[in-house]
Formats: sequence, C-alpha cells, structure tokens
Amino acid sequence: MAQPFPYTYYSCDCYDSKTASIPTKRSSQPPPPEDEDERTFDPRNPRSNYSLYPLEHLLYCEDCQQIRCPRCVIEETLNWFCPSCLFEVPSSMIKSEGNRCTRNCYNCPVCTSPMMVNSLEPPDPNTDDRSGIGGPWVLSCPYCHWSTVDIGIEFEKHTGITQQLSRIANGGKPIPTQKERDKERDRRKELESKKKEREILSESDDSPTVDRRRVDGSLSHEELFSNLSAFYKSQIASATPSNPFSPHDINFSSPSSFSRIMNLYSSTSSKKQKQAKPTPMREAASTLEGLTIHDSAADATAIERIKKEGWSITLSSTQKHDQLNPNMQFDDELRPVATLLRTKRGKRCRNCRHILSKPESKITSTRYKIKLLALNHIPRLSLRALSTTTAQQNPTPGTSAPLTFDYNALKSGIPTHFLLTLSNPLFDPIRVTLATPSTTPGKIQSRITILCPQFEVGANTDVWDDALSSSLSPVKRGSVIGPDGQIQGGIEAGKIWDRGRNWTRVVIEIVPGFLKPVTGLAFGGNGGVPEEMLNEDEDVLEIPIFVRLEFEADVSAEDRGLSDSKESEKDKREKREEAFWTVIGVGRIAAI
Amino acid sequence: MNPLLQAKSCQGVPNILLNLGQTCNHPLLSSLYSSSHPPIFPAPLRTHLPPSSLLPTRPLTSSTALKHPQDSGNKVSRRSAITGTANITLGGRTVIQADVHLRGDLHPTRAMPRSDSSGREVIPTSISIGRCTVISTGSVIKPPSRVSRGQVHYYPMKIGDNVFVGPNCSISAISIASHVHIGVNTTIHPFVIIKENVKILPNTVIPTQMVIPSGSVVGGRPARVVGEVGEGWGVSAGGAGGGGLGVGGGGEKNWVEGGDLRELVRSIK
Repeated sequence: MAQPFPYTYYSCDCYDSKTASIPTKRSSQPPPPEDEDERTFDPRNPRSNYSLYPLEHLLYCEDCQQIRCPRCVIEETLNWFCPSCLFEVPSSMIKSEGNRCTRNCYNCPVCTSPMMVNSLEPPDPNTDDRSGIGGPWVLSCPYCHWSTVDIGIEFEKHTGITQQLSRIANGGKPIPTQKERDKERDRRKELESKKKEREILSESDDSPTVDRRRVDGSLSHEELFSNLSAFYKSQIASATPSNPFSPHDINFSSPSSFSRIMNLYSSTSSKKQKQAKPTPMREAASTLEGLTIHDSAADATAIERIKKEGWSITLSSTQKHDQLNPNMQFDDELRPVATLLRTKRGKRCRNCRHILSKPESKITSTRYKIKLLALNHIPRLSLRALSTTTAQQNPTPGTSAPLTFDYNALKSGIPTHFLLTLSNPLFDPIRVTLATPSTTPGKIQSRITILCPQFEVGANTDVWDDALSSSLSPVKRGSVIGPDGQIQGGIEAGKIWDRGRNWTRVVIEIVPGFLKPVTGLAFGGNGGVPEEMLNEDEDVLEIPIFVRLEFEADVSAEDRGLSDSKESEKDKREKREEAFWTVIGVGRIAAI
Repeated sequence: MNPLLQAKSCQGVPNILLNLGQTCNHPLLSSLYSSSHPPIFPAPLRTHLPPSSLLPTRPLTSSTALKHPQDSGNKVSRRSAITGTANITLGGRTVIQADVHLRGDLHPTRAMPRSDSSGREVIPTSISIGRCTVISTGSVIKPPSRVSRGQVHYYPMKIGDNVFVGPNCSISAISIASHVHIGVNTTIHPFVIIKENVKILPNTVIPTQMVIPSGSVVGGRPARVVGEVGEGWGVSAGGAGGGGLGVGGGGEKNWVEGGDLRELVRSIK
C-alpha cells in the first residue's frame, strides 16, 4: 500500500532471527551472524520488503517484549462471513459447501465487481405493488454491464441464485445433478460392457470410437471430475482389502489376515512386505472413468475461432484464475463467481502463544477483546521538512513549511533539513540513541546526518500535565528560537530542536544524491537521460535509522508475582532496552 | 471526551447549523444542547465573518472564507454550494470545505410511513453527516437515487463520525459508517454501504451496491478489497494521550487516518 511521503516503516527482526540460524547449513550466506552489529539495514534489499511494516500493522508481545509483525504471529479463525451480505457462515457449512457464499452474492467474472439481480422485464408503471415486477431475472454487473444474458442464463426466481445457477449450464441447458450423473455413468458403463461383448462377437470397432468422440465433446469440468472421482473410489475400494481388523474377516486362511499375522510377529520383514504389498492402481482407461484424451481438433477449432473473432473473446489470466474451471479459454464459458468468504481472526505470538489480538466474534462488532499494539510500546517516528528558506520567513516553525514543501521533488546536492519527531507512548521517560549509515544504500547515495543522535523523550504522562505546564510557560516549545525569530541557532549539532511532554524533535540534514553520477556538467539541460538507467523507484530517498531505547520500567506484575519474596520489591524498577530498525521514506529526488 | 472542549462548546448560544427542521440525531450532542436551549434554532446561514477569522494561516484554506464558526463547531466554507439546507444534518465539529457540493435538495419524496402525530410537517433528511467529519474541497455529496415506476426516488444517505473525505470525490453511498478514510478523486456509486474502519485508496471507483466490510482497504477500478487495515489503525500516536493538547507537537500531522479527527477539524481554520 503506497503511502504518501514522508512515511515510516518499522522492521520486525523475526526474519533476521531466522536467517541467523540457517547460515550454519548454508555456507553461501554472506553475512555471518557475528557481525550483526556491523550490518546496516538495507531498505533496498529485496528481503526487506517482507520485514517492513507501518506501525499500525505491528503488534507487541508483552511477554517476549518484542515487536510482532504479521509474519511472526499465528492466526486463528474465529468465524467466516460473506463480505457482501455480511452473513456469518458456520464452520460446518464451510466444510461441506466450501469457502464461497451460497446466497445471492456473486462477482462479475469480467471485472470482479459485485453483481445485482435484475429483472429482464421492464417494470410495469401501472402496477402499484413491487411484487408486480416479474422475471426472468439475470445477474448483471453494474460496472462493466456484463450479465448472465451474455452466457445465456436466465433465472426464474430472484432468490436462491446459487441453486438455480448450479442447475443451468451456459446457454441455458440444464446441468444434471450428482445423482443423475452417477446413474448416467452406470447406464453408460453397462452399455459399453454390452457393446464390448458384441464387439468381441462381431469384431468391428467402428461404432464405439465414434460414440466416444461425441461423449468427449460434451464433457464438462464437473462431469469429468465426478467420473474421475467415482473411478478412483472404486479403485481404492477394490485395492484395499476389506478391513483386516473387521469382525467379518475371521477366515484365517484368507491372505489378508495371514499377512496381518505375519506382520504382527515379524517386525523386521514387515517393512519389505509392506513396500511390496500395494499393487499399483490402474489408471483411468475410458472417458467414463475420467480419462480425457487430448484432442488436436479442439485446438484447431479454438484457433479458427480466435482467427475469426479476435483476441477479445479470450480471457485474461486473472479472469481465468477467478473461475472454478481453470481450463477456460473463451468469454462465453464464463460463470459468475460466487463471493469468497472472509474471516475474522485472532492472533497469537508465535513464540509464547500468548494472544496478541482478539476481535469480538460478532460480525458487526469492530471492537477487540484483546489488542496489544506496537503503537503503545515503541515510539513513533515521523519526519517533516524544515526547509530553511520558508522557516526563515516564518518565525514559528511548523505552520506553513510542511505544506509548501514538495516531497516528490527533493533537490539533489542541496542540504535539506528535516525534523524527526519521536513520540513516546510509554509511561516512563526513554533515552533514545539513533544511528544511520552516513550514506544511503543503493545506487543514489544521499548523505544523512542526524545532528543530535542521543536524546531523551519524556514520559507519556497525563495530557493535562502538559496542558497546564504549557499554559504556564508557553515559551517552552519555542525555546530554541531566538527572540528575533532567527532559527539558525537552533540547527546545532548535539542539541535537540524542540521537545514537548512526550515527544522530542531532532534535526536531520539530508543531502539528496544525484540521479546520475556527478560529472562537472551535471546541471545541464539533459535531464531526461538518467531515469532510463535507474530501476523503478530507485529515485525514492529512503533512510534506514536504527533506534535504540533505554528506559526503566516497573517490573511487570507477573514477574513480580513470581519473585515476590519481600514487600520492598513492589516498587522495584528494571532497566529495559529495545532496539529496532526503521526506514523513513523521505521523498523522491527530482530529476535535474 | 475532553472536558475542556465540552465546556468550550457549551458556552454561548448553541446552534446546529443547517439543521432547521430536525434535532440533532447524536445522543451526546442533543443531550448537550437540548438541556438548556431549544433544539431548533433558525440560524442565518450566510452570516458574516468576524474579521479575526478572515486571516487564514494555512494555504489549504487560504481562499476559503469559512462561515461563522458555529458553537456547534461546524465549519462550513462560504464557497461551498449547499442546496436544500433544511434536509441536511451536521453532527457538530464537521468541516465542509470550499467547492463542496451538498445536494440536500434531492430528498426522499415518498410519503413518510410514520407521520408526525403533532401535525408538524416532517422535513425529510437527505444527508446526515456525523461529528468530526471532514469533507474536503471539490467533493460532491449526492444522495443515491433509483428509478421506480417511472419516477426518480432519492434515498437518504448517512455519513458517520470521523469520516475523512478527500478532495474531488463524488459520493452517492447510502451509508458510510464511522472512521472511514476516503482518498482523493474517489467515486462512490449509489447505494454503496461502507462499514467502519475502512480505508479507500485514492482514485478508486466503487461500483453500485457494493458492500465493504469493516477493516478493509479498498482500491482499484472497479474497487475490490485489496487488504486489511492493521489492528492499530485509527489509534492515534502517542498512545493513551491521543487527541490531547500536547500531541499537537507530533509529526507531520497530528491526526491519523481513521482515528479521531478532532485535531484536524481544529487545525482547519
């Protein structure tokens, strides 16, 4: 999900911890685990894609005291519901009917938009009641105007679309039900066996092949599947002898019971016997058993059809994937797609199995029973431009500067100042150490300097403390700015820019790199050239920042309970540390 | 609720802008106001601004001379085009920016099933917008309509609390729940239902009658659900303090998508 500049992503180290264990096996892994401290996080590494998340997607396990990203949690499904009709579907239904809505919810096979049930008959303006509107009904897409008329399907009723649709094939022909199919198969099988007998008598094999051809052409995906599944069922039934432990099989001379007894007594030879035992199952040999023989004539007709009607009748790959039958080729084979169900899920920590988030199970409720957010445990970093020109005109920082600054056109080679704000959600003051590589990784090297990499951020105390204190001393916030409104004094190495109740701001100086290697005449008019050499999004300036926190927190209640020997330990405080990588997307470097 | 804010909004004559025919339908607000003041207060719509409020500080609204900031906290731009004001309800602390078009004149014409026993004329509501909702510049809010028996019928639409509608949207949804963030240039076709905590990406077109379940991220033309919002969506920065005065010193913006928009509403002059 693209986010507007400037954005901040937080890296979850669950991925790193996994790679650290692997390298023992794989010698090709370049970074050995011991120089982990030396390694800087590269946001351009393809792997980083999978560890970077916006803060609101991250959870926090209070027991492991670690960030938990969507990749290091276990999800458990609470319930299933249709996103279109918002009906909950019981899990027993999921097992029997599959993960699609069985009501009237369908998506357009062409554009995925939800479909509406419409009457083909124009409503009679004279009739007053709504029931006057009559069928036939169709499913139609309000967005691309595709409708089931295009595939020749109309419905008699406007409810129970799923049942009706399962009985109508494209073109309006009825689809036989499973039972009818089974009956038909048995009938054909009998016919065939009779024919075979006759063949043996008459020695002519012309008629059966013709017959088979005809059957081939009309076989649908479902029929093929049912044929095949019936065949395999019969095969399994015939291959596996009747249950060796069944009470009916008490005949000691039967081979199955004999082999069972042999297995019981000779454990060494049993394995060999077992391997030899299963006779290979016969594969399907006729269409009635689910065999499809590739027919080159069908391909030829398909090619002829495309020749005649053009590419527009073929399907795109996404349209094909949406369909239940993946072998479709033409748009007249499309079927409306029943809406996929959605789930409500709770999340657990993968390490300690503690519940991290648990929504209320009711579909309509959006509340959570448990929700342990990273937002409440790690500081939020946010970046904002402090462009010197506007800031000098404006005595008060932060009024109009951020709006006029164009993050999509950072100027190469010109030092630009940004304000990095850390806000602390914890109830204890934190000491923060920031670290960043001096130049950004990647093709375009931008220089980054954090002017004040070590500072403190106040505790997230009561809001009113700040409100009261700031009303008493309003100068506090702008203390860095001189009385004449000049802020040059503010940008000073080793000093914070500004601070509030639970936030602190520091200045970052960034010198955006050049989109192409700097030669003496980089400022010439040939600006369009460099983009061709760069890959997509290579001109995005992203800076990795390592954040390390130190703070003293109350020993959590559980830990205290375990080691509670003296009363004096109640107000014991423990030193804690937290460290993680973040990536701040500053903006896009403008082509010169 | 912030006690200071409550106290602030209580003083003076409360008046629910544009809400001439109906009482405010938010229980909290109505209880706040109806205790000591008449719920119906015919406010002059095009009041002149006090000179102080003519000084905009943000370029976003520099061309936007807002109507008199009402005690209900609604901020309605003078340059917005609002028709059928009697049929529009604003919940309070709602921002209608310049060039926004609210089509309140397209109200349900069908006879109300339950007529008022007191004999008072019931004015149908066509658009009702909740609290702390921001409608950005150039957006059009038009109630959905359907042709039935040769006649066009409009249906009342409802927008919840803390909904952000980006610039240049065109919205005909029948219902938008609370904490919904709608990106720029989005088109929402008639009778769409959007549930709580939904993010709609910019340039999305949501087809007719689509239902968007809560917690979805929606994008594309036609729209489809492309993801889920994280658990922390709408939770404001700085944790528990969220929305307080001190957080104003935060980052780029002191409000979060899908969160409480009170700070944003306050920052829009």
